[in-house]
Amino acid sequence: MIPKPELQWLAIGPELITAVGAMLVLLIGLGKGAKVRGTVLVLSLLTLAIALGFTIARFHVTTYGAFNGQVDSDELANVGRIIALSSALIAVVFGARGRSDDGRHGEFHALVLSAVCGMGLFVAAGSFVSLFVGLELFSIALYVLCALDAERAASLESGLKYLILGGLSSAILLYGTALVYGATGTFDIAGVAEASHRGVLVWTGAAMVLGGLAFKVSAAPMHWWTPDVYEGAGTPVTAFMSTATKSVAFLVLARVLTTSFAPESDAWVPVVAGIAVTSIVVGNVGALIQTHLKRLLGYSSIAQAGYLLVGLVGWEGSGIPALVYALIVYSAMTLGAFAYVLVLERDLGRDATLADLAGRGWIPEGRSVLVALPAFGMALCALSLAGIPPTAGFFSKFALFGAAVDHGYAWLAFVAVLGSVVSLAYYLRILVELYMHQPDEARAEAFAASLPAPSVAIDESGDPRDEVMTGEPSHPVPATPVRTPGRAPVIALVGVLLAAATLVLAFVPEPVLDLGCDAKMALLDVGSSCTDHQAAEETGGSSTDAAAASPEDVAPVE
Amino acid sequence: MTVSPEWFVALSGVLFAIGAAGVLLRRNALVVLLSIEIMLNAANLALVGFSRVHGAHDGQVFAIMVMAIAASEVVVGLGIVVALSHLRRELDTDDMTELHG
Repeated sequence: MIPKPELQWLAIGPELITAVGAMLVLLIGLGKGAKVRGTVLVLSLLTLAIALGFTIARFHVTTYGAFNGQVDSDELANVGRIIALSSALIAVVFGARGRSDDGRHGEFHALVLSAVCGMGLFVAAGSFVSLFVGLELFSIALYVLCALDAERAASLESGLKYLILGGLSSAILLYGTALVYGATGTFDIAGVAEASHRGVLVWTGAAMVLGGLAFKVSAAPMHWWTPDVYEGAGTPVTAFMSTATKSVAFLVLARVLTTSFAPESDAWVPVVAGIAVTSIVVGNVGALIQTHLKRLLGYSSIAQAGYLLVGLVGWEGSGIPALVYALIVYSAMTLGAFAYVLVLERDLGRDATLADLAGRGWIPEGRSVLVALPAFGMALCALSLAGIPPTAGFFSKFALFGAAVDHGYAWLAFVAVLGSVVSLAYYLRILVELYMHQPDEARAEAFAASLPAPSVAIDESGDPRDEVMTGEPSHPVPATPVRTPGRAPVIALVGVLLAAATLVLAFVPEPVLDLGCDAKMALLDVGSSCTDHQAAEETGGSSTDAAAASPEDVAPVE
Repeated sequence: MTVSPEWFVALSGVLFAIGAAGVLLRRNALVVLLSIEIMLNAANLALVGFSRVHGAHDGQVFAIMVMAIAASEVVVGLGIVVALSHLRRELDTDDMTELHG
């Protein structure tokens, strides 16, 4: 007899809001004209804002076992939702003028909203069934988002590559789930840990689940798709994908490993450490030789995944709060960097390379300081990604590596620090180009000539399409619409704000660390052992008395 | 004559391996999509097989969900393949070198 389901609709409130919003946006977006375009944009932003407000208002409301155990809406899930929704909000702003006025502009917004809906379900999954459904819901939306610029071969190619490799990883994850189910007889994430029978099936299953999720966080050796997909997809999509997907996948990885497979932690901790080392090496070495900015950020995101995995190694100590803090910091600085890439692309009308950065940090004679502010924001984000104090990137790495050291993985922290040193080589190249090189048209053009078709397939509404010849002569020449170069003040502003956020997060880390503590307590059910990490973290921020306590009395600091 | 569930699971393992080999070795995008389907269906077979071992129905319910999800994934995949074939003639994944580093 199947029990009557417990329908706690509020537990999936943000998902319901975004799902309804996605349908409305898709419907209204069918119309044509500038008015519809504006309505769709406003509706999309409004939906995300409402869902974000809903999540924040109910942050400490936890519901376990909703929908017959399919949904565990706790603080960890809410952290994931907040990151995904904020990232989507920024991506929608990035992509606001992205599509031509051909009656299809609802698609972008509807797909972003469905992806966020899937991410919410994914991160709040109480069983492997809802976990897989959520994963596929956002993955399929992202495949389409990558391939959305259907006039551009690079975009379609990135969509297909992501789909094939994503499908492979989903199948691996699913088969792992099936094996775990076979051994334990349950799909429940918490229930798997309680099953007494633990044998080779659980081990293999755990390895396959880990492999499937490692793909989503783009950790090596499941990283091959990352640079290609990041390069080919439209920049707003890349920005969304690199932050929201990675963050929710990390949180789910933390949830699954520390609940379902907690009894196997002696086995998976060294594996995670190994993946972390591989990612740090592959990401940093790969990034060294890149000239294409989005590719460079793609490799950088592989390396960052490695650093984040270092935190996961120390999950019993301060690893989870450090992970949450680092994910939020990572999202802010990555989105900030992509904001400037987008500004650059809009300015150039083609993909941006390192050489295009040359001299952009300077203030042209007779212009106000404001002109150089977006470039300064990019510089700040690059410094933060490299982990230079006093940016938040430094403190997040400090927290992550500290967690690993506490857990007896000092060698791993050492490797990670070495990796960070290597990463300076390419992050500082961004600064060198911005501030120490003269703008050099010839050099920039030489780099640009080596690029595939521009990924800024954007044209202003009403403008006739500007067809240029690209691609190799042997192929039928793909016609690529190129956007007329223009400015993007709103995106530049968002980028500057995000760069400022990396400084704010460095000096006022307590509210975010409290989120991390709540997430850890939701996950591990440990009393107040979160305090020791706070003590370690005090070195980083302004030391207010942020003694972590039980969820009830964690009030927002200040 | 009944077949014991262990054989279903063994068969699913073989199917999964065939699918994975197809994804990694075959070059035609359509065949690769097909191979992913084989992998997902191998997982389905394992789910249904284990469901019988446990005498429960949840594995079978999950398998039905997976079928729906796999179908939507293929729809998207075929859509992209068709769009790509409009732009260029071939579907050989090895020739997809627009993106490289």
